[in-house]
Amino acid sequence: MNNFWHKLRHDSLAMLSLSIIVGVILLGIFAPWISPNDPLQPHLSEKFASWGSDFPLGSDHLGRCLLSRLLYGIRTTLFLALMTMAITVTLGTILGLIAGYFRKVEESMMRICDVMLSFPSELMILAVVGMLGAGIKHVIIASVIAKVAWYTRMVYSFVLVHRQKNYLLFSQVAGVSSWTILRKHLFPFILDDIAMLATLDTGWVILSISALSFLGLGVQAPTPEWGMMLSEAKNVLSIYPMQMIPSGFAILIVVAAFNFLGDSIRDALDPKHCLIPKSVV
Amino acid sequence: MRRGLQNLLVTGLMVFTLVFMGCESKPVSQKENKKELVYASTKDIRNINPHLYGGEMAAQNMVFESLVINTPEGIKPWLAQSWEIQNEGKTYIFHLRKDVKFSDGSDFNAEVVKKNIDAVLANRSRHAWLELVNEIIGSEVVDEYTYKLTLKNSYYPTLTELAMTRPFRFIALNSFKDGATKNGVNSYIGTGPWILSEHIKNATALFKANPSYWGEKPKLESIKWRVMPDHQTILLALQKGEVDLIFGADGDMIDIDAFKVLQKEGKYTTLLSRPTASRAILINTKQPITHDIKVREALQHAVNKQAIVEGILNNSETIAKTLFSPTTPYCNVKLKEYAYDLKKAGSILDKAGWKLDEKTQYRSKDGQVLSLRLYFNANNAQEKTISEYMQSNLKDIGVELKIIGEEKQAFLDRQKSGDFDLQYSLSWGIPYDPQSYISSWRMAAHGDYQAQLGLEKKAWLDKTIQTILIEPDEIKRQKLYDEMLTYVHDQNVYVPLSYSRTKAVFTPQLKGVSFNPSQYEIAFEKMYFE
Repeated sequence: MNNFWHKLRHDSLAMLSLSIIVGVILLGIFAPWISPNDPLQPHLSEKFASWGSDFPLGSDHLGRCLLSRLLYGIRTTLFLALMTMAITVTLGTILGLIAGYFRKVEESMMRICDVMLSFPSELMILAVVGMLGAGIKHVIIASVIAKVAWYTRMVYSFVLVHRQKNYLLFSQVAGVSSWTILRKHLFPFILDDIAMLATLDTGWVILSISALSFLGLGVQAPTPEWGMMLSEAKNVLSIYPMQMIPSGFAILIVVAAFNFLGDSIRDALDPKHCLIPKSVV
Repeated sequence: MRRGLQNLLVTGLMVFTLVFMGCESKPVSQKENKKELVYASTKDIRNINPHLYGGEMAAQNMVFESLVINTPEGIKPWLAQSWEIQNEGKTYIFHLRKDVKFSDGSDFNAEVVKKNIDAVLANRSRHAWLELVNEIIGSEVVDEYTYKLTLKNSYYPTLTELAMTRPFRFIALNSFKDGATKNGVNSYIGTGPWILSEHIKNATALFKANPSYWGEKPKLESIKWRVMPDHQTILLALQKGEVDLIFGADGDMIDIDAFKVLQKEGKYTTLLSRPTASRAILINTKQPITHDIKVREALQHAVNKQAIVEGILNNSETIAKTLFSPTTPYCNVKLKEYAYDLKKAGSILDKAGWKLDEKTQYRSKDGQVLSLRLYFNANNAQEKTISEYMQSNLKDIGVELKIIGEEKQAFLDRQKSGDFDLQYSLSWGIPYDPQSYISSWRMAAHGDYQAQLGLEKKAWLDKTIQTILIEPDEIKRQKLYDEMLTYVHDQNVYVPLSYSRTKAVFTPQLKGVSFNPSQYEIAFEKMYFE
């Protein structure tokens, strides 16, 4: 683990991504103190204002401050994405451990996963939201349902690596309870892999929540949300193109940061990576 | 060998580029003496059977014609060159034009009129919103060019309703399917100035000028109706020169902000019609919270119409103080005005028992929060903006407004079920206002009916509307209108917002663009390029 941190610290891209993410999260937490205006208060006489002192990033179709909405949007977009991720990973880990360790349910659980994985996740999400109705709760449920099968499968494959190891077999013979084995022996070993998976995927979740809000299925007005802001900007695309910039860039940067960080974590965890050049030296 | 391959590639690329460049420059080179008008709509023309409601009305109006027409100066002859009203307004005798032919060459005569009207009557339940359909008891051919219509009562809007875009328009008998039209038609053959010559679903429809049209022939040779589901696409297409005309009433076709920018730029001609329909918020009197008339009254005072009209609608519409504009027939009634007054709205709610919770900033009564649901059509950008603004208006008086955008069909289904606190309501404008619109208030399938069910005197309201429609005496009719409109107004069923106007944006070369009295019709036959 120390080695991992060491590698990560020397990866400037990873550090940059990490600081962007941490910075954005802090901005989101402190949004009520730093945002210059009330994100929900319309100023109709100043709609579509350009960048200036009153509205640092301009104002939208109701004259609401775009910067304030962007900052408050972190709370919805990013925090909901992180929450979705947490739920998915927890569920996936539990199911994956069960499927990997208990051979009785292995077959049936994996086949169910296969069925769920055979649908494109976007299609699954749209179908679930279509059945439950629009709203952010339903979007989260849908995202979890769409992704949990994949996580189950990944965690299952991590467990398989360890299943035949001697220390595990020994614990079993020694009569250690399954619960303890799962908790104390298996879970810590696969934790890094799960962390890597989760970071890699958070970018995807942000995009998916934003996309659904863009379509009007996710967050409902007036809650600020990046995807919805982008959709509102799309309505005036040809006359006020600058409206697209704040929310579009915010999504781009945060998603890119998560993806780069995920890549770096994967490289850092990979024992083959980096070792080769060093040994050559 | 390799060089030959390279040459081939380069040549291929050049041809490719040229082909696409050709596409780009095409609209420019064709500009002089254009004979085809390209109109962009967010919607396909769909099934334009004039006796059903599935099609785009503007397209139905191009192909099919009525006996009489609505003009700003009143009813004028059209396929009927004159008419007599007998028997205290219960019998109408129409003398038809003798020079009218359908575009397939068949004659237009009294026989055709009777068969068409019979076809409409065969589907009475579908047309029940239009009272005239319920009033007709006799439909006779007197001679080849004379047709007689007999009514149950002296129904006063008879001619107005005969002039509407649907259902009383005429389709050739050859188009009938098994002697009827209610299950669809074989073809769309009408007497109008345009013939539908090609229709590719959800892409284009091509209308060619009718060479044997009986009236003044259109100056253009054809109209191309292009379907572009997104406003921005339409706007970009207009700027690129692929589209000549954008025309629409509600926020459906053109975004009001875009309209203002185009108006300012001055590169395109923009036109606004006179105020036509009423934009209002319908309050459901049957829902638990809004059942209380005091809550409804508070809402009247809480909505800042001035700001909506100035700030959101860019002054392109006029503020509405009453549901129907005073210029609508019979609607110049003295009604009390509700001013935008937050204090008053607050004190009304206080008196009604809705107390402000300092912590949440929302009012509540007996543990129930004053929270209302407003539904709107998600495809309509304007409705969404107004809803969002009203949300902040109502928050100022401690009312939580949840706004929910729904797919158009879900929105319409919700009207039928009555499961809403607030909903958007757009009247249909002249010539439907007021008589056909109030007539529809009695139909269970309409949101207005559902929303009025909680009124104490709903039965009386329905009866009065019925009486108004068949009252032969003008003065008595006006008096009934006064009573009815005053009641609905005082009961705060509607929060009137504005009187909408039809908007048109087009290339400056296009001339002769004007508005028909009905916001759903587009007078293509009067347009030409210069």
